[in-house]
Amino acid sequence: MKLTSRLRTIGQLFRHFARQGKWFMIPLLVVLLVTGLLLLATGGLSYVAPFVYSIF
Amino acid sequence: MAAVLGISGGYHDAAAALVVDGAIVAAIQEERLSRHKNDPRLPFRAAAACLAHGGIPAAALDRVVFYEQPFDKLERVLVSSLAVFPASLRQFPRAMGSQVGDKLWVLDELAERLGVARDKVTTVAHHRAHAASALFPSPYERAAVLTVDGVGEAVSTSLWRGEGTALTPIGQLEYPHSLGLLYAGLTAYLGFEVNEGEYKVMGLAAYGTPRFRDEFARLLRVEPDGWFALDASYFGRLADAELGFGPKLEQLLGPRRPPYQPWDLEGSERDRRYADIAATLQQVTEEVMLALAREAQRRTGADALCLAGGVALNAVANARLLRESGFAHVFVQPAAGDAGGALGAALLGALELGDPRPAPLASAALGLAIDPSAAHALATELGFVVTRADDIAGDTAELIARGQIVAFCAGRFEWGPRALGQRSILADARDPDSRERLNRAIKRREPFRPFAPAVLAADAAQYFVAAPNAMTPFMTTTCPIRDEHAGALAAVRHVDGSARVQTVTAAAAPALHAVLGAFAERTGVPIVLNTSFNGAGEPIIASEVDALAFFLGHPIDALVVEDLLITRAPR
Amino acid sequence: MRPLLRLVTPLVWRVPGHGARKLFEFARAEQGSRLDLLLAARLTTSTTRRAAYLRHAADETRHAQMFARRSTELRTAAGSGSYGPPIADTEDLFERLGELRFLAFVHRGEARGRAQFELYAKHFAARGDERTAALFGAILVDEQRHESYTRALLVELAGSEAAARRELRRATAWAAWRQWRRAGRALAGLVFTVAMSGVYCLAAPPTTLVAYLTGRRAERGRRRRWLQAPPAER
Repeated sequence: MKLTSRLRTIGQLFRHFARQGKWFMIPLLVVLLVTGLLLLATGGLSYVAPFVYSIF
Repeated sequence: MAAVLGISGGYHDAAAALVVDGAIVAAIQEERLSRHKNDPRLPFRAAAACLAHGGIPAAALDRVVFYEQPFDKLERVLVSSLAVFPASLRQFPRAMGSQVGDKLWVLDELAERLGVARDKVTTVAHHRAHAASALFPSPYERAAVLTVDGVGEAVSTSLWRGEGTALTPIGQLEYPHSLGLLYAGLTAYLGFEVNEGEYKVMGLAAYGTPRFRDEFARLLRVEPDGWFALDASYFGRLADAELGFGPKLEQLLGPRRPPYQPWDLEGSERDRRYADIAATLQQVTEEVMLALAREAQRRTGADALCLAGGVALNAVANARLLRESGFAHVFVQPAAGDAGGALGAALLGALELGDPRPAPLASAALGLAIDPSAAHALATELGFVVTRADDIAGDTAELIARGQIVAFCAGRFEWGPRALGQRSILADARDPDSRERLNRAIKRREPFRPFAPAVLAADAAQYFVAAPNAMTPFMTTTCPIRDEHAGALAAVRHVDGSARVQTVTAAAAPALHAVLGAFAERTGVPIVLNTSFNGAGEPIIASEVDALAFFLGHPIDALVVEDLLITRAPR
Repeated sequence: MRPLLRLVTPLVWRVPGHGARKLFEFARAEQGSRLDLLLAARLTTSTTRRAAYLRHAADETRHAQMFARRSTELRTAAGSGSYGPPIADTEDLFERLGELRFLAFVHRGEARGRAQFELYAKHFAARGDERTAALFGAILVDEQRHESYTRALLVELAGSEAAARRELRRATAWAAWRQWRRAGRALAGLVFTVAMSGVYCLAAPPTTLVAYLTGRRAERGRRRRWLQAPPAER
């Protein structure tokens, strides 16, 4: 399922930095991911411009 | 006995490559199928096409290997961005958004959209993928491998010892010290698009003299053992990924060249100055590559050098490496840039699962075949005249000899940025008018960009110095044209007397080989002008639909699809 | 849309420099449409429709060039540089919508474009700008043709007038939903940017300081790492 696989990736992310002894990165990552939730919910920043004949 | 799919993508040059039982089954760049140049998005079309071509359903894949490690990349982007306070403020949200909204989940997305179990999706280090793409398709059992690009996760340059199926790392240089970023920054400074314009800069360089060595000495410091250091402060401390350079560079070299301005090397003093800057950049790049290569020789004692990474696309530097680095052989596979990472990743996956190395790469025709019957139907529907030729090579050679410009499609389309006779536009290399017409009406390129020749491999040495060699079948190097033929090959001769020549064998490009043979019979010269079959700003043609779309909109004289000759109806 | 368009048009085109920008955006719109049509030509199963999409795509190529050229002319006249080649992405409309709704969507787009361009042609003719009026006039001819062939194809593929009109309504609904999602994403992007800027201002100064202090040591480490492998025996 989509969510569990993402959660597992997050787990792997934290473990990756913990293993290298870079614990200080974890709080930063948490903040990033929490704010990133917003992006994920709406489909991410990578979207295509509408290319319509705009009126304005 | 494994089926492995390699994937590159997310930044630029997305591609997919399929390796089955150690053999390269298919390798396709996404842009060819999406028709969006340098398409950076994950290559799901290319992946599906590779699987379809190989007759392998996604569920049967043993591995899907991604060409980069997202966590390491995130770390480098995060830390390097935060370390440049406050210059990187504007870029930080964008970079983080891209990482957290998109890049971090690439493995999950690959698993979901390809329909593959998540634990079958793995990664390799970016430069290891490059190294694998350079070594394993090469004809050498033992070689030194040098990979030089902008930056992967954090490494920009790496040196390897390659032996059989083993790749041993023996040195690396890290971001921000990167030859690729130096070249990219100057490319942007000269008004070209990054990751697009680098080979334009390479062509421009031959028109200038390298008189800015003192200035460049401030940008880059090189040690004799190849180690180099970039002064990142000239490149905006790499705070703005899109711009690639900072105001300090303009203070050093003068104002940047505004983009999209037409070039006038004869009339404009300023343009000549920019050409001199390009020439200096090229010379410095060559010298760094030479130092790196010589160090590779010293450390490995190998006879052969395999190159990969974006900087390996610098064909002029490659020629110099062959001449001066001390290696007897230099090999660069056709998709040396990031697309090659997909192939390298697939090969690494295959080797890890116990498969042997592939046979040496004989041909770049690793894409999808063209469909002549569909072409026939569509061309007829569009009102063109279609004839099935008994001797298509002879007919094509005849048209070219008469000064016509012929778009030529045969077999599977090429892997990499060069057209090698599968999707080419052919013309008479001796005729400067063809070059004029091609440039003005069809390709609409800058005037300083040369066209390239294709020559029968058996006759190559007669016309070109140092040809054929391991790189010439893939057009990844340049060769000087012999003096006695310089005048005759006016349309493909660059201002420095060299050409980025393709040496053609029957095994690598049978259709083009036949055309060259027929052309030699008619004219005595086994050489034609070979430029890629695409319009300005679009990727090389893939299918018959693209080919006919092009034929509809451009004034070429004829279109050849396998044994079909397509021409316009007489008015 | 029409009354708003009529109201806004004279104002919008008078803003200095904005006209050139708009023409460039139109060029990009043509390019985007072209890419979608090329993909549609590849994916459709009928040779007749394939040829129709290709002809349409060839028209869009020409339009993109015409708009881009006029934009460059205006920019050069104003002393600025060109915007460069009009580059666009595809939205994969054919794959997303299926051929029927794709046709409906394209028809709708052509119809709206035609209406807009009719107004613009009149506007520029009235203003005395013959060149731009002629540009819109020429493109208009093609747009009318596009509008009618897509309608004919739509009715043929849908099976009946009623079915065609239903598809058009659904295409309009989809376009509205797309706008809604876009607005949502833009808003989310804005919030994210603000949040990230905050994170940056908190985390960057100490990171920069640490990087500066450890800089010299890092440099020596880099040099050492390059030399770490001994040369091979020959």
